[in-house]
Amino acid sequence: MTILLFALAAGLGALIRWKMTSRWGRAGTWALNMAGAFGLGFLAGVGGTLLTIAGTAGLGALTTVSGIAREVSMLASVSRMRAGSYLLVTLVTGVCAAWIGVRCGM
Amino acid sequence: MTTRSAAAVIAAAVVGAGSRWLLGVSVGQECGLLAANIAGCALIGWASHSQNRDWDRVWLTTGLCGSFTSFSGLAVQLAIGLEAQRWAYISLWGAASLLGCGIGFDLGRSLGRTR
Repeated sequence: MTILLFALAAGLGALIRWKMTSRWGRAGTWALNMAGAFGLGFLAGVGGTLLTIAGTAGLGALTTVSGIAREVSMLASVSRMRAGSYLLVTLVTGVCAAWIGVRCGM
Repeated sequence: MTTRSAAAVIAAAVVGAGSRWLLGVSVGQECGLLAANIAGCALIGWASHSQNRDWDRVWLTTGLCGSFTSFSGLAVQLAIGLEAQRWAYISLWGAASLLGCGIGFDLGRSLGRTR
């Protein structure tokens, strides 16, 4: 049962990301990364099967580092400043979202 | 989004997320996540710049690479370090992730271009 729920959560997370990035591009990736960072931060204190299914599978598949790397590379081919800014904003806001999630989950 | 592409993305996402979980269980959550993020960036670097474009790669980039890597995991590791005021850990973990992913992506891109 856990394996099935894990697969469902991972598949759903990736599908939502695909849909969002297809429609909103970088803004979609950023929004999902922020939501996922907050959600995983909130769940961090829970542990167990819920963390594995909702956190590792669902929110892990919803968010992406490889997508950021590709977007930074694409931006860098136009402007290194924009690429650096995008990376910095993503990292700082992502860590803030995760930190707020951790505090809310305590 | 065709049904076939969606099925391929879902299948690849299950493999990607499952591999990340297995890696975390095998070598520890922190090292596993770092390794998955770097390897996923290398793979998407290769896939994005490969000359071979005659096959559908959305399952590979969005499905496999996207689910194998995890921004939420990275952000939470840093946030937990921040909460515990482990500044050296945050600096090391952040630098290793940024440098590793950057170098991994460039390496993958170079390999994709030479093929």
